Amino acid sequence: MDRVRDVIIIGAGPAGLSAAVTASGYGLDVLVLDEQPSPGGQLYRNIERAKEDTLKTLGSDYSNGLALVEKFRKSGAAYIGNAIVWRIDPNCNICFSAAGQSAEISGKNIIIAIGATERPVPFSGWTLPGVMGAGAVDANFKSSGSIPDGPVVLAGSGPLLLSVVGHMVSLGVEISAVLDTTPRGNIFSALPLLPGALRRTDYLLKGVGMLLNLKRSGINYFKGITDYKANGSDCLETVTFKTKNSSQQIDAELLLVHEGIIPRCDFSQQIGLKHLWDPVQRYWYPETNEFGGTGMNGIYVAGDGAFVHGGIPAAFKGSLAALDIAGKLNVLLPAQKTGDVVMTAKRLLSELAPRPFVDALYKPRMNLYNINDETLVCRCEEITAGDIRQAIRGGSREPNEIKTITRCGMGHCQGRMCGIALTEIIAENLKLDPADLRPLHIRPPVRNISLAELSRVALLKDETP
Amino acid sequence: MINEKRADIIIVGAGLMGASIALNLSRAGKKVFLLEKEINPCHASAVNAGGLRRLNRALEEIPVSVAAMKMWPKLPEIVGNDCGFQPVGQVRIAPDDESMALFEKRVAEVEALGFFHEELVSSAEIKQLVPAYTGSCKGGIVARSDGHALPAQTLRAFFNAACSAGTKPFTQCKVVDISHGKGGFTVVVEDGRHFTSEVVINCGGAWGKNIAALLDDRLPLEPVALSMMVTARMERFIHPVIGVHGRKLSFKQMANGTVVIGGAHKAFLDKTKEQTTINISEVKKSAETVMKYFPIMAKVSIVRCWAGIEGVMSDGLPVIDQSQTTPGLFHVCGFSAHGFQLSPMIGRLVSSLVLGKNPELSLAAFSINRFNKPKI
Repeated sequence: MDRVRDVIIIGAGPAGLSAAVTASGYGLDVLVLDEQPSPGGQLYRNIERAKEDTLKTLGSDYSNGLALVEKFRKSGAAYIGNAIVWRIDPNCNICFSAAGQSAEISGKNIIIAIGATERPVPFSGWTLPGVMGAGAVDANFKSSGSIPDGPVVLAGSGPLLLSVVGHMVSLGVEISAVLDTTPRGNIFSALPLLPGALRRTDYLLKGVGMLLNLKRSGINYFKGITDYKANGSDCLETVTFKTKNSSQQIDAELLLVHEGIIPRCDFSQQIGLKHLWDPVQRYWYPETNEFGGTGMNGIYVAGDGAFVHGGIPAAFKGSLAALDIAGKLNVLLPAQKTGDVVMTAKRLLSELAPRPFVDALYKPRMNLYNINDETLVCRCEEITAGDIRQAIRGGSREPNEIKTITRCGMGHCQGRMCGIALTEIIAENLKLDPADLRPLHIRPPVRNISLAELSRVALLKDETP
Repeated sequence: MINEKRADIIIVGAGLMGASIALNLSRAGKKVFLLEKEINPCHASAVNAGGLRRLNRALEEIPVSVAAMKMWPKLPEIVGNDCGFQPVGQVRIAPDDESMALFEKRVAEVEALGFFHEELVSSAEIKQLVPAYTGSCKGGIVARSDGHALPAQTLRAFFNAACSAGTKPFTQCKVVDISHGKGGFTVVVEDGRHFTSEVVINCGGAWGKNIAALLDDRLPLEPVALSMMVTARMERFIHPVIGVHGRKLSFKQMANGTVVIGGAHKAFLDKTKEQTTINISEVKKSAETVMKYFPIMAKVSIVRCWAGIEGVMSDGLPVIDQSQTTPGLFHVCGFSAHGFQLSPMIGRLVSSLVLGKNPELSLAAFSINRFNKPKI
């Protein structure tokens, strides 16, 4: 444990695994730390133990992961599962917790490959039992094969929503309605980007197929809906929403929500990398170069954590980071370096072809955070949109100041659930561009550890400033 | 010269001292500009531990501290906000006979000055006040109406009150040059704007030395970063703010149940980027100390660690004085780790000083020439 690894990779999803395979392939000393019990990440969760029908239901998007995980297992890269990283520093030191013990380790390089997460969007009733992220259903299905009891209502926008609907249909889950919030106008801003996407008709056809299946399944599918709300006293009872011409109500025991995917920036923010705002998909992402390299020497961000492109591009991004590190550590011959880099970059580029079109087609709706004052934004500290707006009226405009004044984002999740909402509410109220605001500071420990564990953390050495 | 603007008084730094002084000067009818390099008032003024402590202050500061303490309950009248003031008391524990002897001497000194807020208490009373403490104890000192408040809320309240009173704030205005001539001061900010005034007050906090240097004043002030950590909410187990003599430990349980742990553990500071990085060994030591004296906290989660940037003077006391070389320039900085409590009073005193009135309390102990003679 004490030796300095060539590269420590945080996350064993497509990007992390692929980075590990590439780096090990060039003889680098690699360690992968991952919070799940087995490699795969969100996309390929539990793939090594997946049953035949799980593989069949989820299709090649999931089963493709088997080959990658196999390659990883054979790569010689060291791996620690159930490892909770809670701090990284600019000197490439990492503190992590495993089996209740924390230790500090050091690498020559770190690749942060912690992927993406569903965008948390507060709305009226979102904290009621019975309201969940749609992605969580897929995660549960992959982990344990469990499927939700119907009837289910799904709401939101994005390819993943359609994909979850598809999975449920094939599993025979009763779906009472799909409430698609994708603005009708999106298609017009997306159309000019279609020619680029046509370079990968396979992706486009897959999307069209998902929509056709949805039509064929005969599900109640409402397009262009707004203002969906979860209602109930102790748990979800009904979902209300508005169509162009009417307000409607549906009985529901389970509401699955999906409003797109955003990078997980926990570590890139904790370590202090510069983050940029994507105006199309509306999220923060760390500034990186074409290899995932950052403003900090030895710190890389790869995969969807750098920008949401999906699983296959994530794997190429992981490889590129590993190649850059191999080049810097002089284990690549110049010819290999240019050859492998050019080839990987080319394949990545091809994978990314449809992305601008898809991102524009599923651009989040403008009024995503137009929520009433009573709606909770910060679940940890129970701070409402009204509390935030009051702080704004009190003269504050900087997210971190509003955080300290209202306590929004000061709870144990450090704003992972409410940070974006806070940014958007400030921007909307003060008519600012979110790009001109700063993301919330994320402080170590990024995952909560006990005081006792902190007091016993095995450090590399004791330093004094 | 572009966009020249003139004020009576320019205050550099919209931290708590700057805002408090601005408030008083604006209320006295002066035209005040408050220049802040950041987008909003922030830094140590907003992220300090929030302790309000007369207990164990440097003897020189006691009169100001005692006067300030009387202002805290009245902040709703002064700035329209209670600033989260909680008069829960502060306790300092003597872990051995030696420290208790020091405490006895200390309280006698304080009383000799005519102040009686520090009370010696027995180990039995410490047990009552701090039942969760498991270390050795020979007694302690208590200041029963000390306490804590919420720094970010306090800073915003003073800043807003100053603005309502007429102070004109300029944020994202980093001062890059100050010159002094017949017409008074010309202050140049990073984007090229010029401001002029009769008086400049340096409330630059951790950057106070740099501001002073623009007019060739030298302040023996160094920026330091001190780290703190906060826990998840716990069932209430302690009311007063606690310190243990000779141990780097100070903590308080806030109204919401979280515990804020300090103790002057240093963090790394990147002066150029103005970024702090916690020193994990120091944080570990801090956790060890808390574990040793308050094992009740063993299982609680640490939610985050952070460090603010503060300015410390070589002798630990602030400078509150007019420059010896540039009349009309005032320095009010170097409050590291102990300015929060003083701030309401500092506004009043400095306002008098600047207006040429006799401040209601002596500021002699905070003179600039206690360090060095003026440069020739």
